[in-house]
Amino acid sequence: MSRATPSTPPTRQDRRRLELEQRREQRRSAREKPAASPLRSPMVLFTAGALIVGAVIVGIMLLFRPAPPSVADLLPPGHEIPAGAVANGRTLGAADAKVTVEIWSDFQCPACMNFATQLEPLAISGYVVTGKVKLVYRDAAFQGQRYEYDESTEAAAAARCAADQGLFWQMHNWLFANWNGENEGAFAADRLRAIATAAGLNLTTYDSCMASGDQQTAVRNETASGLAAGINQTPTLIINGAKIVGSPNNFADFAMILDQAYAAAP
Amino acid sequence: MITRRVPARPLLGIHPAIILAVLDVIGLLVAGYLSVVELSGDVPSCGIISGCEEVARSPYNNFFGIPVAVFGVVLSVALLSLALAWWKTDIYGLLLGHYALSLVGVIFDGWFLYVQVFIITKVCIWCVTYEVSLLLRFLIALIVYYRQPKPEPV
Repeated sequence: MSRATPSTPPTRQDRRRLELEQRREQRRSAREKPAASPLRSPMVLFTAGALIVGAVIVGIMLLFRPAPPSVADLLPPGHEIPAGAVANGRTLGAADAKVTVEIWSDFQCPACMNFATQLEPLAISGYVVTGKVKLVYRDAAFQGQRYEYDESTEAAAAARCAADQGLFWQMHNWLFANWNGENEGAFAADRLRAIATAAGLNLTTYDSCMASGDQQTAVRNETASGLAAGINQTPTLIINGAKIVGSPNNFADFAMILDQAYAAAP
Repeated sequence: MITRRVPARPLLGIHPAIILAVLDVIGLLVAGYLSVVELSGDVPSCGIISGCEEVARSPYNNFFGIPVAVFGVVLSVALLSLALAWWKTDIYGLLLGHYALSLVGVIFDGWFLYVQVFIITKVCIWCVTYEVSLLLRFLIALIVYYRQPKPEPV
């Protein structure tokens, strides 16, 4: 029985020779194999495809990007402020009118919108122009309070900025004419700006007024004072001190209330 | 070549597809939350960080009437499917697909981030979270590609 002789370990020279041989072989095969074009690499093709698709999507977004709201997108008010109705800030009517109607309102509230667009114009032409009644607008800006961008407060502040320019009632009419749901962007900053333009405001003055935040603070303060006085629903009318919660059903009812107040006034 | 199976080189000791899938699920949850809130007519809450409402209400947040977040859900589902399929099959092209699709998303998100910062001038933290997750998915897919053994050409 013969025993296998253990093989001798390769010397350093053997290993070196083997490495050189392998490198020579690699170089030879590299020479023989045609170099693959980098343009045919799947990675390059996938990257190029993704860049093209991404660019097309962004291109479509750019092409169809929304235009900022303009005056042309707005609805004009259904009525004008009659020439005979004297405006003084947020008051409309003769200072010595026997009946004062305080309207606690929110530009976002649908019932306020109905009152402002349906009953108020008739009251203005029938009672304010004749000097019997004066209207005083008060802020009860509740509806947007839980939102970060409070559309009720911003719209009311925009109306106060309009009052600074002697255009409160024009702005009031344009705001209610463009009421479009609650907290849904009808009174987003750029739309308010378009409404201010439509109402005839000087935009530079309007912008600095809105940016100062003073009118927003004034709106919040008046809303808080109203709440403290029990005004927790809009619209609420205070007619010569008598409180009416909600809007009268129709103009006949409203006219009757105004007539009674006029008759009872000293 | 892209249909060849190449065993994945582990990343952090696991199949890289699992890392991609986890990020895809995070993206899916964020986009899913935004989609549900926006489709129900509400606006997402940002907590103490402001900006979500403005971004959600911006007309830029809609693409042909569909909230952008819905596209985020579709993209995340597609990416998650690719990651899981790659994990199960080791088919090389699925990794490339994940890489390319996340690159498309990164390009779109770059545009949307530009809109938030320079046009709406408000940044929505939910959107940024999604954008970061997508950028990570793209970068990880790219790193994995370079670490991954390549299939030999036929």
